[in-house]
Amino acid sequence: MSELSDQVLWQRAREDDAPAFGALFERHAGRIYNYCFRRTGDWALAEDLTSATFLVAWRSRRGAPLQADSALPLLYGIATNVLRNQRRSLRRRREAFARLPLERTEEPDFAEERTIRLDDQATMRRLLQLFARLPRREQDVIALCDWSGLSYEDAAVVLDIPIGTVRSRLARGRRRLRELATTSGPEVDVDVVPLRIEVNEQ
Amino acid sequence: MSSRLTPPPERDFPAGRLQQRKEQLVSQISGASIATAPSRPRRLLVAAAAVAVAGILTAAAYAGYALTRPVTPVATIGCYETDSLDVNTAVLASGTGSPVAACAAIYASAFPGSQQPAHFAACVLPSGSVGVFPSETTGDTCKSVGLSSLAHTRATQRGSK
Repeated sequence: MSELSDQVLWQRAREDDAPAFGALFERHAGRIYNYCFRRTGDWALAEDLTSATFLVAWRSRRGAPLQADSALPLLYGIATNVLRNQRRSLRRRREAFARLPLERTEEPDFAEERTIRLDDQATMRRLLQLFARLPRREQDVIALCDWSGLSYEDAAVVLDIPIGTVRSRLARGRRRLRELATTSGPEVDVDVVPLRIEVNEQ
Repeated sequence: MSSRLTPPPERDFPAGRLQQRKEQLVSQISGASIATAPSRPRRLLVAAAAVAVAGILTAAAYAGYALTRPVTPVATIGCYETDSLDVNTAVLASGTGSPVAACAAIYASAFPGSQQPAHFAACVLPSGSVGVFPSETTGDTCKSVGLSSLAHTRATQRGSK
């Protein structure tokens, strides 16, 4: 299954082939996981959002033929929407996953790895504090092009906007981000002002 | 872009967690694809139930209206060409005026071949409507046709109240 192209796997998924979709997950979950982390600064949350992204992709598979050879632009697009709607949908998805009777696989607790990831979160949250001051549309293009390495063409597909708009938003966003970095003064201690993802428990 | 604006490098999805998430996903979507079939009928059922409820409410509202609305009698007057039930008839909407006067007024135009009668008699037809018959005399025309006289019927109704 792993040697099949995204196009073939996606087509099979559209015909309700769950293992084919599982292969797509295995292939692309890492990219989406890092994208979600860079938008939230939270590795655990990024895991949840990655699962949520693929779940949404599965549900929308019949109405969404792949526009490119890779499924990644489609998945980034879905992830962007999932991130946008995360507050209201995350609790529901967590409950859905919690109902599944699967044994939890514990990762070996390598202290060094754990420390690295905590540092990542601190670094990312500092950056996101600045980033949050940008308009959402500029955040999207920077996160896709600069942080995730998407081409302008792919970002245009992901965001469903003209490529020229991607370029202009990217240039504007980069400039504003640099200005914010130079004018925002000393770095804020992220332990004092943590980024918080609010989950409505009601 | 300064280091302050550079996100941390990408990390691997922890291998064990990746497999677990994959199993969860495949398990969930396998169940979902089985459940996909009934989801559309369920939506249809919900829609059908909504339509049924709306229909019942509409019917109940109409019934309420029909039972409580002021009654507007829609009676007719049959103007007969001769003193028989088997002849040409001009049907008029019942107004507030006299049935006899109404039929007398249209008789000539409704039955151009007939001579304008000297008298008319208003009778009660089996349907409850009023039938007006020409009469050459002031005798009991209604009785001769086998009907009750309207005047007699009204007098009887007033007397019974």
